[in-house]
Amino acid sequence: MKNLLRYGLTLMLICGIAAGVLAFTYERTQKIIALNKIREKENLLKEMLPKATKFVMLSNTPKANDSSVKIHEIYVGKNIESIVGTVWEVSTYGYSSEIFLLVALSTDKKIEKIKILSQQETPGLGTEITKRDFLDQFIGKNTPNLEVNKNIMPVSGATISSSAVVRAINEVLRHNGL
Amino acid sequence: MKEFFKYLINGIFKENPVLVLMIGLCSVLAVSTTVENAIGMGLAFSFVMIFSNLFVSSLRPIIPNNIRIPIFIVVIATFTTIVDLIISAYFPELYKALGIFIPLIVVNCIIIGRAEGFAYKHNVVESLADGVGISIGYIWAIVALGLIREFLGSGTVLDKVIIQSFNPAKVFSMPPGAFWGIALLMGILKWVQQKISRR
Repeated sequence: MKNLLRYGLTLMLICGIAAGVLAFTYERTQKIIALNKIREKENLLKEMLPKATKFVMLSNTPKANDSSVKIHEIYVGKNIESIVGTVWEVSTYGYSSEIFLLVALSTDKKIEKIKILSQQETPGLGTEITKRDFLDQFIGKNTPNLEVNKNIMPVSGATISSSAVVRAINEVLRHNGL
Repeated sequence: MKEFFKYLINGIFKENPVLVLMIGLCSVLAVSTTVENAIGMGLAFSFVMIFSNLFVSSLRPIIPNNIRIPIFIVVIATFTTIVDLIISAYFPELYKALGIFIPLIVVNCIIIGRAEGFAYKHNVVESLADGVGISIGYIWAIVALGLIREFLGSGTVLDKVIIQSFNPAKVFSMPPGAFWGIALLMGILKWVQQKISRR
């Protein structure tokens, strides 16, 4: 009984000190962490639409027709008051992972830029979809009729990863009549 | 003072946590794809290692023997969370690269092994020496592995191209390369130790 109390109080004391130290560190760092996240997102969006100075997130995102594709967020890029384009964050299932990508569309609904945000495809094969050589073929396209081997050259050895990206981009083009 | 250096050197070669004791290898193998990641992981590990050793040895008189393990975990988890918050606030790029392996320092068996096996039985100065020694041992092993893997796997060192015409073998950036690299380092260390002891 005596021991029980001693153990409990010792643990409580040490946990209390630990909690205090952690609360202090958290207080000091969490503002910077939140700021980092916002800045990172803004930098990404700026990179996609360099002409825009301000980004507004749309509150309602359309549901994708293709079940393997998800439309997460849509940002409207504005320069003072005129709209200069939209940025879409979409995800799609590739060969071994969920691929997240950003697609920038100009005001005339053509693809301006594509960037792969995250993926865990096979190194050396599927990961090649993040390269310019593959992604630049989509620039200027505006109709959702893209197909691997027909009007898009897939990455050799990574047809599944390539078609996943194509599916996501078709989905964006299908919904772009905002 | 002589004791201090004895325990310091002990962690660097004779009881190198990665290459001789061979514990806590998971994060070493996973993170050592580039030198930069290796250095970041090494420093995060060192911070937790040194402070956990210091605190466990200084709290020794008040820690009841029966509940020492929960107390070690609380101490280690506290320092790991501090490192986690600091890295994510001030080095977001590094935080992204290291990912889950920073929170996993909590269950790194080197740290809890040294707390239980060393710091709980020695005084503060000796535990500090051991913590620093083990940390240096960990850093040199993980950075050496990162050097091998980054150079052979992507042809660069710290993102700088070293030899223009070198054609990298990607397999060294992937998991098999980690095992080959660590085996090579273990072999070299063993060979050197044998050479020295034969003399």
